[in-house]
Amino acid sequence: MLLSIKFQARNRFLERGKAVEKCFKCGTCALMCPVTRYGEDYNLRETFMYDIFSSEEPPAKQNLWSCSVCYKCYEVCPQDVNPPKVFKALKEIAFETGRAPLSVVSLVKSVIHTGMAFPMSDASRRMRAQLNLPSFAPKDVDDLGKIAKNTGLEKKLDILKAKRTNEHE
Amino acid sequence: MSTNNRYAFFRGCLIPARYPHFEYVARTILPQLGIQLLDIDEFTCCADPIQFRGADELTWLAIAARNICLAEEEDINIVCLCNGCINTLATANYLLKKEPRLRDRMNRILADTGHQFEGTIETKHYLQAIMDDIGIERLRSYVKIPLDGLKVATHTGCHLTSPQDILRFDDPLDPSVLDSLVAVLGAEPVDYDLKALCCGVGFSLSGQTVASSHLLKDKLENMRQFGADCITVACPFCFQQFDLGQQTTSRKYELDFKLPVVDYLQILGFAMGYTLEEMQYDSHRVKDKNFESKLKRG
Repeated sequence: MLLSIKFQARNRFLERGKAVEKCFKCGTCALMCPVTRYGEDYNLRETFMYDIFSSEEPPAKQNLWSCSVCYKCYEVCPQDVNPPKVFKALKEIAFETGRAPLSVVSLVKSVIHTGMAFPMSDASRRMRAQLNLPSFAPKDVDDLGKIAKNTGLEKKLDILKAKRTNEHE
Repeated sequence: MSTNNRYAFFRGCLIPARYPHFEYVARTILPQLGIQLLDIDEFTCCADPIQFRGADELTWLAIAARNICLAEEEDINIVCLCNGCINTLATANYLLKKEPRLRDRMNRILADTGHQFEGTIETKHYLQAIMDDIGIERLRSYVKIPLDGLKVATHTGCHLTSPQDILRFDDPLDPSVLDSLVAVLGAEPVDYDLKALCCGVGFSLSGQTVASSHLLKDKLENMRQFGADCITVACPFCFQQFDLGQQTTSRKYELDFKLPVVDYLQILGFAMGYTLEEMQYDSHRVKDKNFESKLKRG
């Protein structure tokens, strides 16, 4: 069986990805999924989808973040289940509850604080100068702080920070 | 002959920060095709459609909306160089144009930044701009030195083609537009089996190096089996996988892969008469004499 939702917060999960109820377990998504094909722990019976959906607590699974949202499952699904949407909902729950990998939290903070996901290296600065490229530093990143405040992201990050501080004390 | 369409130049952040030579190549080639580039310093990271979108969709959408607003305020379309950027920008533009309630909510979130999403512009990857503004047939007139005898494995990438109903560029399960764009340069696109397979950057971003190398090994072997001399991409993440990842994969499996990776604008540049050096080939890790000899001039 490909999909058997044991997730304890099942209803909350279905709220964010209702189409999952239409899945008739044909497995076409898994055939196209690069994570199932190349992830170390998977095979045609124990697929990435199965691993995530049969877990009692999918947002706790770090594997969740292997999905590169390539949309192949979305393109081939005969039932329009939209698995990437379901994965996205699970990732959001994982992020809110402090279970996203630290690399993801750092990336989010980097974008909000600097306007860039990847920092500029000295080598790149030198290369930019050699190639006579105009300087690169996003302006008005204050806007991103305002956005994070208004969407509730700032609050989520504060809660995560407080939670981590408590855990370390 | 020139179309002289002005675009807001969305550089993203991986290219300016890690692969500035692609920005240089874009600034060299695109204006010659009539794609004029306007810099907007207020642009930030797109933000990415894999991890940031996963973590917080509403904020992801708001950041994308703000970037789109900046171009709307100049009344010009956006052109970008990266599949991640176009996936974010096109998806946000599509959703906010289509869903008035979402747009209203977004404009409330954006209110104190002074920007408001109006839904007046288009967002394009440079391949889309080339197809829309110039087209395959007119592109032929820019070719000075046809790339005869060069066999190219194209990798269009997932995020430029999917979701197909939003990106509207090519068939994500059997992409062919990039092949046509390579063929018009006189080169021969090879029709390898694993063309639609993802580059595997998701594995690299989540630290799964074994899976990343395994995927790359299969894909590179398949390209080689079909006789490719080089790989053409249109995205810095795909480039990073095939260039840096190819070295790692070669070492891990003791297979000596030698498939140089070039962005489409570089291979177009070669056909327009630019040299390997001028197209910044020296900035790449994987180099190959056979490939270089096929591009030797005169």
